[in-house]
Amino acid sequence: VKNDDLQFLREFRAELPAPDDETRRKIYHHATSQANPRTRGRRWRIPSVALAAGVTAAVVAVLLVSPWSATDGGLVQRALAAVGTGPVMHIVMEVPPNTVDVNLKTGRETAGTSRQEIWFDRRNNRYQIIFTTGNHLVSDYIGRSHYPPGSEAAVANNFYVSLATGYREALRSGTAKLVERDTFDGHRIYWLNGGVPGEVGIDAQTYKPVLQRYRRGKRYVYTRILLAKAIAYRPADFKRRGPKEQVSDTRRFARGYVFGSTNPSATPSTTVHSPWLTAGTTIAGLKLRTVTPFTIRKGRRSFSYGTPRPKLIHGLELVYGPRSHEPAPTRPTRINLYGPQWQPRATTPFTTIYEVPAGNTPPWAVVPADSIQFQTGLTTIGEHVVPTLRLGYLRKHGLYITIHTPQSQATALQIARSLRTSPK
Amino acid sequence: VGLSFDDAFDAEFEPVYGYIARRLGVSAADDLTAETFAVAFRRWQDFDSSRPLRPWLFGIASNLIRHRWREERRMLQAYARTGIDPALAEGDPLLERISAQAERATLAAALADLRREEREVLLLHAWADLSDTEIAESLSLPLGTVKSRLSRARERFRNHLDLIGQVETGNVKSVGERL
Repeated sequence: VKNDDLQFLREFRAELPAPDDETRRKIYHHATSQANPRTRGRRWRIPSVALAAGVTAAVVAVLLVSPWSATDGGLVQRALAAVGTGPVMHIVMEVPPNTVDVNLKTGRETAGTSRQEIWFDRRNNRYQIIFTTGNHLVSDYIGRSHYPPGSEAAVANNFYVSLATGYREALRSGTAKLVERDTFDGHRIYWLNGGVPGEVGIDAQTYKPVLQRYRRGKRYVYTRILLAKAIAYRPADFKRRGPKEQVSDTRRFARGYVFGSTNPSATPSTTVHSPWLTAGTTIAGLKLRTVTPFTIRKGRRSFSYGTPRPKLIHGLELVYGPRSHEPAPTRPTRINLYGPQWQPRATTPFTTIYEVPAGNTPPWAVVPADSIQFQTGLTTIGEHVVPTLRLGYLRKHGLYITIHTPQSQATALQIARSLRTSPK
Repeated sequence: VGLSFDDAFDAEFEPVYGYIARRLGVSAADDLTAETFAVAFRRWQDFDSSRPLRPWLFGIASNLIRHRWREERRMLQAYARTGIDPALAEGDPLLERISAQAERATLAAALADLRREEREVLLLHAWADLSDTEIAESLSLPLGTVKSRLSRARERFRNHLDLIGQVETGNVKSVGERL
């Protein structure tokens, strides 16, 4: 037994893995969607009797004049009627595009459009989620929610699925409340909360859900709802459309973290051997600083799509950097190569290229041939949100390439174009 | 310029999550970290940005953990009995291969045997890296109380490590509890 009790405890603490990005994202959403922060300002102390009288008068006045009171077929009832009564909730949403495909030869850009389609059967908590980008099926998941519809856990579990599982329950139970009248794209809408993270915007004329929003920092992020309808059960709605292996959901999303080297003590080199690709010793004013092999180990549950599925993937990391004296990182940068990215917020002067053998794995597998797909991270600086690190995905010479850079898209494109096989 | 909630979340998410996960397991960490930051988000305008953030956040987390002390005790007892870390076993399967070490089971038993308030102070010091002053601020306790609790906790903890280290892991469950 060690005598240094604190050191012993700290080692014990350090054994736990860091939470993954999806956990982080869900917790952020949960934390920020439960309630709005109180505004700063002087708090007036109102005598409690006067406050109670005021509240009572206001409630009576609202009940007398409001078009959404529960007793006169008001807003919530109309919203519920607009959704329908079938056992299966069918949702189609347009997820905000955050990618652009750029043709390597012509430079032509095509913005990605992503859709999520959900069928949720409330009788058995079963759902199917299909996610498409452009015309490509990215994921197809059939599963069961383990939480009661509308429960807090169900809401927190999945931002998008919660619209299918929680919204109607909130309308039925009366927990949905009007929080704001608004105009969006020239249409009058009502924002309702309850049952989903953030709020659901319903059209003021049809009472159908048309938007979902949640707060990210000081801004709202909007998702357009193309369809939200309770329909009859049809077995065909719960049949898989895509290959079984091409499956992911928020709990079993592919995770392939690069955060260790096969030989961390090895001296970093700048030599690249075949079959790996290099952009040369200098590119776009950036110098090749280090070349480091890495491995990704996969467990039985941690990697749910991508074929083949070896236990171990060997890859190579190339770090390019400005010609400064700043030392280049000697170990691979921590990145979830095969999974969703948490918004990269840290700034780095280095451009990193990751190379792994090609498989059948998004996002590379859905990038058009001879193209690179860019995703841009956003960073909040003061009150402004600015694009910072970007990620580029492409396939080349039997390899999946990921470019992670603080440089411009043009520089990333130049790097992608110049990648070539190294001499043996 | 005040600290934004997003900045606070970015800076403190992993320490808070890790602290709760180590104390109550990964599943509970999902819930309690979310609740900790939800409380922080609701009270954000009450936070005095001239003061350090971490004690304030860990104060919220500690209040939430306090309601689950029985769960924590059960977890530590289970670890001490089986040598399998419950916090890891429910977490990333990649790390399941980390072998349970007898000395870790010993440590779990020693923690289980501490008084609840001593364990809280000791773990805020060792796992959350809070100073005595920050712990006092976190738990709204006088500094002297924190110092004496920490000193007592460390002494008892060391004594238990020495004591338990001489017995077989399988017998650790016989160590008394004072919770």
